[in-house]
Order: sequence, then C-alpha cells, then structure tokens
Amino acid sequence: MEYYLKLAWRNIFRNRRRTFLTGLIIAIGLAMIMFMDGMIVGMKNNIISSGTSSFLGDAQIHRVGFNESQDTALTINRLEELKEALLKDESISVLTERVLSFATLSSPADINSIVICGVDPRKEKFLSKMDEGLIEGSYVSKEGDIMIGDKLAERLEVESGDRVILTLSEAGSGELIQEMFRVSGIYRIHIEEMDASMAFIVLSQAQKLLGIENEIHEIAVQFKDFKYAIENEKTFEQKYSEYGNIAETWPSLIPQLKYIIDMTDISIGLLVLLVFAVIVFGIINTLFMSLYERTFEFGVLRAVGTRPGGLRKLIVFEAGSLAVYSIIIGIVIGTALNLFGSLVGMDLTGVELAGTTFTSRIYTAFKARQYILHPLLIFAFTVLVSFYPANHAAKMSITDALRKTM
Amino acid sequence: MEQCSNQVIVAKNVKKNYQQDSIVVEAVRGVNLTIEKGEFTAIVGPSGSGKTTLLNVLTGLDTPTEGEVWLNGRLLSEMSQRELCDFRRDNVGFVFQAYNLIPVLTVEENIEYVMMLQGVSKNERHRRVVDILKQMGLEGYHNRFPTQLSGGQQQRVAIARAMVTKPALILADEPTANLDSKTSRALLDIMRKLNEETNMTFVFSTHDPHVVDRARRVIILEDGVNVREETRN
Repeated sequence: MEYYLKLAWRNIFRNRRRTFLTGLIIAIGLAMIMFMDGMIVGMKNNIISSGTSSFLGDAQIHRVGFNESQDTALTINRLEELKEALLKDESISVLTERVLSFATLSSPADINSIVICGVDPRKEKFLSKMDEGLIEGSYVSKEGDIMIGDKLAERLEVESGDRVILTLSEAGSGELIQEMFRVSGIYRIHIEEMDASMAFIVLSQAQKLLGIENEIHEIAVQFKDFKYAIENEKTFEQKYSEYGNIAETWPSLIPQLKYIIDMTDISIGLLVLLVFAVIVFGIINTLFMSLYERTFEFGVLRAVGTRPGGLRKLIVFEAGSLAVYSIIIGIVIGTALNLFGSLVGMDLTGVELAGTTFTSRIYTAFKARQYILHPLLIFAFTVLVSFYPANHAAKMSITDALRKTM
Repeated sequence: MEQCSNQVIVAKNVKKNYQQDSIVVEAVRGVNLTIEKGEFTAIVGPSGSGKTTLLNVLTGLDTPTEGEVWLNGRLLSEMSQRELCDFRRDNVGFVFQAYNLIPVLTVEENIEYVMMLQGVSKNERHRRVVDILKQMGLEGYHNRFPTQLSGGQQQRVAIARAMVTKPALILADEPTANLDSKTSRALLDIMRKLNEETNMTFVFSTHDPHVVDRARRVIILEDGVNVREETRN
C-alpha cells in the first residue's frame, strides 16, 4: 500500500505541467463551489434578514382570519395570557405589538391609500429596521407623530415637519375618522410597498382611532436564532395557535421566501454537479493520456508480477493523489475568494427577488461543509471516476502493452 | 507428463497465431524445446522470426494457440490468471530491451519492487539490494534515478531486479538492442558470469552476432520454427 502510494504520488509529477493544469481545473472547480456556496449562504441569510428583520419579524400571531380579511375588528384573543406565555419562551428575543388598518393619507398635494401601523416605538426599534432607514426627521415618539416612507413623501410632496391628514374607518362601526398628524420622520428601507404605502404612528393613538383600546391585531416576534423558524416551524405554530389565534413563522407568512431558499439549495446542487462533470472529463482525460504514455511500463509492471488489482490500485491512488494536490490548491483559492467576499461583499441593495428586497450588502459566509464536505466529495468523485481508466489498465494484455514502445 | 527436476522449460509443439485484421499470422509454428537448469541459452533469429512471441509464450505472458509449456515443473495452461501472475513473479526474472525501469523509482526501489510484491521484509529487501548491486558493480548507485544512469547501467539494474528474487529463469528479450557493441559485450559478460556463479538459468533473444558468441547454447529460429541448435563452450 505504502509503496503504491509513493509510486502514485511521484507518478503524478512526471508531467508537471499536465498535472498542474488538471489540478488547476479541479482546484478552480472546488474554489468555485466553495465561493458560490459561501455567496449563496450569504444571500440566503440576507434574503431572510431582509424579509424578516425589516418589519415582518421571524413569526407573527394574529386572530384567525385577520390576514385574509384585514378586518380591524379581528383583534388577538386573550392577549395578556398569550403575551405572558411568549415572554416566558426562551427561544424568543423580542416581541412587539401592532395595530394595522387600511387608511388614506392626504396632503395639500395628493392623497394615497396606505396601511397605517400603530407601533410601540420602544419595542419596535428592536425588531424592525425603520429607525435604521430614517433619512429625515425622527422616529415616532408621541401621539400626533407619523413616520412615512420616502416614496410616499414624494407622492404627497411632504417633508419632515409637514402636516398630513389620516383617514380610516373605526373597527366594528366602520365610521370614518380623520386625524391630523405631523410628519416626524421619513424612512427608506428599499422595500417598495413599505416605502410607498405604509405609515407608522404610536400604538396607543392607533388603538384610540380604531376604537380598540388595549387590543391589537398583530404580535411580531424575533427568535434568538433565526434558524429556529425553519427548524421549529411546526412547534411554534402549534404552541401559539390557540384561543382563535393563529401563529405563523416566516416560511408560512412569506412562502415565496422559503421557495427561494429551497431553490438556492437546488442551485448549489446543480452547480456542484456541473463542476463535477468538468472534473470527470479532466480526470479521465489526464489519466488516459498518462496511461497511454506509460503502456509499456504497465506491461513491465504486469510482467514482473504486479496483479491487475495492483495496477488498478496504482491508477486509483494516482487519481487520489491528484485530488489531494488539487484540493489543497482549491482550498487556498476558495478561502481567498470567500475571504474577499466576506470583507468586500456584493452590493445588491434595492434589488428585489421574489417579493423580497435586499436591504444590505451580501457577504459570503464560511461554512464547515466548504472545508469538509465539498473537498471530500471532490476526492470521492475523483477516485470513483478513476476506476474507469484503472480498469482499462488492469485489463490490458501484457504482450500488447509490451509491444508499445515510447 | 513427467518432468525432470532440472528441466526449467519444456515446450511441446507450441504454436501461436495472431489475427491481424483479416489475416492470421502464424508467429510460432510448432516449437519443441527443453531448457535445463543453469543453461545460458540464446534464441537467435532475424526480426519477425517469432523470438519475442516464443519467449512470451514460454513465460506465460501469452497463451499458446496450440501445444503445452511447462515452466519449472508446472503446466502453465492449468493455472488461473492470478496463479500465473504470482508464479511468474516468483519464478521468472524479466529483462526487456529498454525502458525496463520505473523512472520515478530509485535504483534501490526498482530492484526491491518484485520483493515488495512477494512480501519480503524491508530489512531483508535492503540487504539483498546491497548484495546484488555489489555483484553488478553498481555500489553507491542505489539512490539514483534511472535517468541518472547510462543505458548499460540501466540494463544492469534491470538484471539485478530480475535476479534479486533468485528465480528459476532469467528471461531477457533483446537486452542489448539499445546498447553499443562494447556495452553489449560487457553486459553479456556480466550475465554469463552471474550464470556461472549462481547456476541461474538465462534465456535471451538476440540477433546481434557479438552477443550470440557469448551463449553456450544457441537455438536458431526461422519463420516461427526452431530450425537448428548449436552448443558452444
């Protein structure tokens, strides 16, 4: 075994240029898999973060039917008991309460349909990113304040400090209510529907306007680990879907996001297959070239007593050695690319994908599998495909081989 | 068939045909011969006379179309491929005309290769390599690679590899074909000396008259048939 390993390792360096070029093909393949994996994981995290951290949260609880009808009379049942249970839940880091309603917002210049959202400013800051997206003025802090998106401000031709009129219908009675607000701040978070058709006021005022004092429409929660929503989707949903309320994690709330994430996993798989196909041809080509060059030598080895299995072992070890050599180069290139990607990142801010907009730069992510699984797969695959030329060499007739001169 | 204990090769009516496109080539056409232990025999004939084919058949590298071959008392056609492979490893030492050595292995590693296949211990392998290199006049060359040796030195290493396991037969197919006449004679002198000292059986093919002179028995092959024999001192 040791002898064959030594022989195989030395054999692959007999034609240094060819070994280097083949090794480079495999190495670039591995580096690309590592980099694309890092980038896709980074993109996945970014998509989830963009979809959940901007406003949605990792999970939400509503009264059954509210999401479908947006009926403001459908407030969460047994709120205090629910809040108490949520506050005790160790998987949750933040929870915030909201009131939501369709409304219109008008200025002297224009009128626009919006969704008005009543929030508790102290809690909301920890969950959504509206405060980070402020481009003018300040966050809502008191009754009479309203915070709007930049696109809505543009349509209404208002600036921070200007007055606007909010019109909405009271829950239950449907009676129209109008109230004047002063624009406290303007935000831009690069999500079209939030920048163009959403506005925020303080929770207590929203409750008063809608006539639902002490009641809310939505509880948004953030988990300590964002993966909790994927891994424990059903647990959370079953636990808090009671008293006529429904709990949903983000994969249920925005299924297209889950679909995109599943697609990224498929993309990685396809990419790996594509790279493996390139590697297969590279290895088979190199091994066969090397084999034809050394036909006489194989004849000598067989003549002096090397069994076909020994020759097969030698070729497979050569492929394994080539894989190890390539993997070392590939890991160096892949790490350099991933390091670059993790420091510089890629700016896709504002680009929308399946209804979710990237809200920050995408940085590549390092994962253990890039250093363990991918190299192991490359090694296993290289060794596996080498059985084809190895069997060819093992079945070679000794006398035919000895007739081949260099 | 009853075999005498000193008969290394017995060939009975050996024929070997090749299919070349649609033509059947009769490379060996009914050779009968016996080679006894300790012989130093040359198989001589012009190019295409069937020397290499005959040697291949005699050592089990190829199977005869007809006839039977006994090597060191064993009928080759009765052995499985695996048995034949191991039998060849233990009973025949090969020297080819060129490119005998594995270029990425040192002289020592090349010589110990067959011993490694036989499972000889590392220390024993080293001891035997040192001894054989001394016999071949190649002391101090054990760490050199084949490309660092002359053609004659490479052939001497090949002979060392063939002899180191003390096989029943050393078979050399045109061992001097790529050497100049002086080196060829020197190589044959070494082979003959080793034959005399160790009583190991040597069979080699050649068409070089200078080399033929060194043989004690000459088998002349023409058109695949051994037409006559000469015995010399």
